[in-house]
Amino acid sequence: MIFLYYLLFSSSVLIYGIGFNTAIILCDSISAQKLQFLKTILTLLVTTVATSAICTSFIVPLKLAPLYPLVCIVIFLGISIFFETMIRITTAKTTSNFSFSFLIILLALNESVNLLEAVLICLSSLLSFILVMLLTHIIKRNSTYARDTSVNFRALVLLAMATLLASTFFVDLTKFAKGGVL
Amino acid sequence: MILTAIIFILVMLSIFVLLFFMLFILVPAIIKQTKISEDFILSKTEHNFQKLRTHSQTISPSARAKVMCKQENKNNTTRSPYSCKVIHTLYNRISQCTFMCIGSGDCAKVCPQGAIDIAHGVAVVNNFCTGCGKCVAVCPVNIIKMVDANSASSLAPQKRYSKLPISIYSSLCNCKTIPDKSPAL
Repeated sequence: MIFLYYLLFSSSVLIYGIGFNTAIILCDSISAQKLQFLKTILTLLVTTVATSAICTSFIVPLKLAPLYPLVCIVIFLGISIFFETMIRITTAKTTSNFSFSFLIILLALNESVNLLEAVLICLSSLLSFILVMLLTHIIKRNSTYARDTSVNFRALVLLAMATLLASTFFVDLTKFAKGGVL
Repeated sequence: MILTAIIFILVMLSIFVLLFFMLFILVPAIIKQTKISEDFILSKTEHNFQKLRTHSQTISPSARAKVMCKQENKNNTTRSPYSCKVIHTLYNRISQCTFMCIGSGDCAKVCPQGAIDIAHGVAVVNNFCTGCGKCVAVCPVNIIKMVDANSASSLAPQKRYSKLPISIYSSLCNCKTIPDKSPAL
């Protein structure tokens, strides 16, 4: 249920706008982003697990909860640079990405109650980003085929996202959750 | 409680030391070895965000560059120490195709936006292009053209770029997108 909720109904891209600009820019070359997705998945998982472990072991007992974004960013930078280094040495390609990954980790840590939930939110947010990228790619391809230069591509994307967002609001989520609790 | 605080401080200290090592020793070494000077933390989108806003308003927001070669460069000249201009002067072409991208990255080096990537030995223009046209001037094979940003896939130039030669398909090459027969070639 959490997976479906953060994939469609409360998508990180549609509701929070995380990675919306990136999705529009990278939609031209989705197949070329495989390595970036792999690195993002690894970074998200490792950072979420490490931050969550440090939070439960040290930050919560010491009553320093407001400091968790600082811990998160320090761990994220270390892991992100490590993976980026490995990728650059082995493939000579760049996959650096900061705001999207970091904001998803913050979202996951904020909205989860345990480690499993945090990991699920991370993965579903990434998947929702890929879905939005695919949708943007389709809109861009069709608008290019139409060869109608009077239609602004970004306006079309915004309209499509608004329609998608509005359509998800009409779905009764309680049907999916047993006992009516999400 | 004190023991937990001490362990927490030690853990954070070790992470900071690791980060310091990565940022000031490992990253410069990797940049020197791979010759890729792009940011390790920020992506191009984030790095160029401010530049993109200012440049797109001042240069030519409705034009963008397009590389008219989609064939994979199997000769892999990307890591060649020579520039495209040198390779073109020495060998004229790198395959049977006269219009094939040499892939040594002269255009990528002059691009102020970092809008050109070399993928599979062929230059690819991404969405950061602001249409300044610097890459067009440095390409020795003349396969980079300025097209309308709103219809970048179109091969035919728009009215406002009527000075540019019209691109045509050629039977000389297996590529699906072939540049025009310019006098220089």
